[in-house]
Amino acid sequence: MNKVTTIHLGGVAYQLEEGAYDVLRAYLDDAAAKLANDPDKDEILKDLEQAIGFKLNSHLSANKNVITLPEVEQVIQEMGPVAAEGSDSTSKTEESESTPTSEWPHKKLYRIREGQMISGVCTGLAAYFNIDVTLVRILFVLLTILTHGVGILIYFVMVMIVPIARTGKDFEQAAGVPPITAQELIDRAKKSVDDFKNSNEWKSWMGNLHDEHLNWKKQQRAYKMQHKAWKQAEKSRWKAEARRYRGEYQEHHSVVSEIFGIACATLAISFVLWFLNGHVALIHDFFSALHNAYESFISGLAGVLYHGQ
Amino acid sequence: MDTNAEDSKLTPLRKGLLEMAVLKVISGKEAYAADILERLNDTPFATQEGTLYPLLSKLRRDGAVTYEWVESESGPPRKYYSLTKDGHATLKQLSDYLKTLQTSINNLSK
Repeated sequence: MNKVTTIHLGGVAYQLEEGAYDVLRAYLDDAAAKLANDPDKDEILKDLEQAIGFKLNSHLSANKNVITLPEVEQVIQEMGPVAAEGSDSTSKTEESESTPTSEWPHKKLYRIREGQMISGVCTGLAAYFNIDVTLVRILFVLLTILTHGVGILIYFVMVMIVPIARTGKDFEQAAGVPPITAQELIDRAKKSVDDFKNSNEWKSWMGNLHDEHLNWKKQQRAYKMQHKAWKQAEKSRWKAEARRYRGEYQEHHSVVSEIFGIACATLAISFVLWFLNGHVALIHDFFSALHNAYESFISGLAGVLYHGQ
Repeated sequence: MDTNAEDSKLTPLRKGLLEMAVLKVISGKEAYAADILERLNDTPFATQEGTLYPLLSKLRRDGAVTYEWVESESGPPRKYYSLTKDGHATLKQLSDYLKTLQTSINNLSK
């Protein structure tokens, strides 16, 4: 099980295995450094990213959506090292059979800020002569003592005139190493990932994370149990309720009683219909008789009132 | 090109002509970067994205090539490169010069 990092290349999202991400990052960082002096740096980087994305697509399918480290390594091999225009560009064949002696860039003195104490003069000198930085520093101190302080003056003159190494190419020249190939980049990235994994910081962090994870797991388990118990209780409650309801229903509304009810209603309605059908005339007579009685009563009443006056 | 010694002599030649090779490919037919790589793949000029993209960018700055964005069915739009008038002129100039060089070399042995 590996962690996955999501990135986007040319507007499309990709999921990369952790190591794969580091290698790709290293490749693109190196490309950016090589193109530092190119006016179209950003555009070229975008194009490169898009090309990488296009190549990654061939490693994805409906049921495989994470890019692994070997796949990224392969894609980077296919892309080839980024060669800035005007610098010593490399072509496919040349890269595979590079001849170190003739391909090395000229050595040049740079100040190197990585691992510097004051301004990177000593680190730069150490890289240039390929010796230990500490030795350079001791020599500088000795020189200063022996020359009654002229060493410090020399140091500050060097701070003024020696440029700082900024791009990948500068670093190559500072140390006089051959241009970095994709494979070396990959190895370097792998190594730094391994170093980091083995470092105490990482371990303690991972330890904490592990403890936290265990705690969390415990809590989760407790919660799950609780939830399960609650679910069970709820379920049985519902079941009981349903059973009770069904029982009541059956008690009062058994199928037989249902049929009996329907039969009674039908009978009653037919009886009413039959009664109405046979006795319409009778009802009519009854009502007209009632009407006549009412009318004679009214007229009688009127007569009494009238004659009484 | 089997040995390193041989290659170190031939590499500069090939490198110097890569630009012309790319112009030549585009002059025949407008192309995507991937088409250019594929076309060059079987030739001594075989190269990779890492080299081609910065080169195309430089050619565009020089005014030799131009591109337009073309929508693709699979994925984001891609750059479709074509040669400009200047590009055709440059290519002709390079071709002529290469011929001159070739002729001169041939004549030197006479």
